Amino acid sequence: MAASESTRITLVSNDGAEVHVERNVAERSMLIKNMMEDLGEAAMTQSVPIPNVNESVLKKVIEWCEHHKNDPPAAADDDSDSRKKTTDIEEWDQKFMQVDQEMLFEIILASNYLDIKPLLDVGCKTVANMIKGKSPEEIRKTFNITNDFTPEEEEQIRRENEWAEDR
Amino acid sequence: MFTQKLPPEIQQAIVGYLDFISLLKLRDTNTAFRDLVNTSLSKPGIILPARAELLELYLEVQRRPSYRTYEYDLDDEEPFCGEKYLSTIRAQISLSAPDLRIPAAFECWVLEWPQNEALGWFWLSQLGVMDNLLPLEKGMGLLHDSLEADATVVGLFVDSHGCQDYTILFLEGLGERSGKVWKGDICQMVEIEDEEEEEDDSGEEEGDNMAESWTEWLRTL
Repeated sequence: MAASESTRITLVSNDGAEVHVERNVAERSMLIKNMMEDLGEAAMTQSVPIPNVNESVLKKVIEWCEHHKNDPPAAADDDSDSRKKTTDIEEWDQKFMQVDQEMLFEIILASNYLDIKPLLDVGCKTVANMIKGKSPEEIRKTFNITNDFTPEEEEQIRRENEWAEDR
Repeated sequence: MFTQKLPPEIQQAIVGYLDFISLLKLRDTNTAFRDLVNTSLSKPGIILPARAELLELYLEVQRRPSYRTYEYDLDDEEPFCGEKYLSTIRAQISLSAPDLRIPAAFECWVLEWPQNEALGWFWLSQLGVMDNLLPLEKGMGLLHDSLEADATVVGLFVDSHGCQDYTILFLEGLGERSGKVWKGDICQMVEIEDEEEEEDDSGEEEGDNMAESWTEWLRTL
């Protein structure tokens, strides 16, 4: 069987759902790519278990891989590139990331597990953008967290950051 | 909340994307986030080095007894543009001291510090900054001084030998000459100035008085 671009493989989510996907799409995941290489021909006939990811998240991640299947591979020095630390996100990815927080964190975890670095980056940037430009109170609201500082700490913070109060 | 949901290395990756002000805000939301920022700060390679340095400086400065907040109303003034300011400095450097580099922490300060606030030191937009630039070839690249005797001053010094070493000084109580060097290798800096003065004395105007007095003052430390 020729490993053409349209070769499909079957992934199995941790909740038992089979997801059929083009091999080159799935191989945006370095984890899957390495598994494919290890399995060789067997990968074409066997399904590939993805034990850490449920169906809805897996499908979402595959959707991203589908859209980005023709992206050029990341430059070798992508570490130094990410040092610029811009949080710009391309428009499609922004829309893609418009999900509830639960799903956002699931996507981040899945992309980490599946080793899809560009998706992980987009996820982290999305969270960073949820923090940027917000006051501490707004950040608390965004992530639904409570202020657990003691009154003394609170007073200390207030003194330190008077200037930042309304910013 | 992602401090529970995501593993530490991912949390830190997120922190790495935050600008200076956002890092400060995040520190003030709750203890988990405060710990996260502090941890990220203590590990190299997570927060941009220049930004981490600026944040450490800020946190240190904040704890000092002389720390206080200045608030400025800039409504009447022309909005300060960090990019423009930096490009002006770069142009000046390329003419007068092509070997000089602007330290990354200084650029970070210029670009990320809140524009109408100064924290115990002077923010650039307060001061008719362009006039306040000392001659770069003196080895005292960028100094923002206070006209008030008791004000806190931060000078950022660039050595003019073209290497990227630099020093941020936090000086207290300049008026009473009781200042302390908060950070940096003062001896090294004075030495550099000595050399510079010997080398470059000829063509210079007799000098910037402020630079002279600073040099003098620094020697007394």
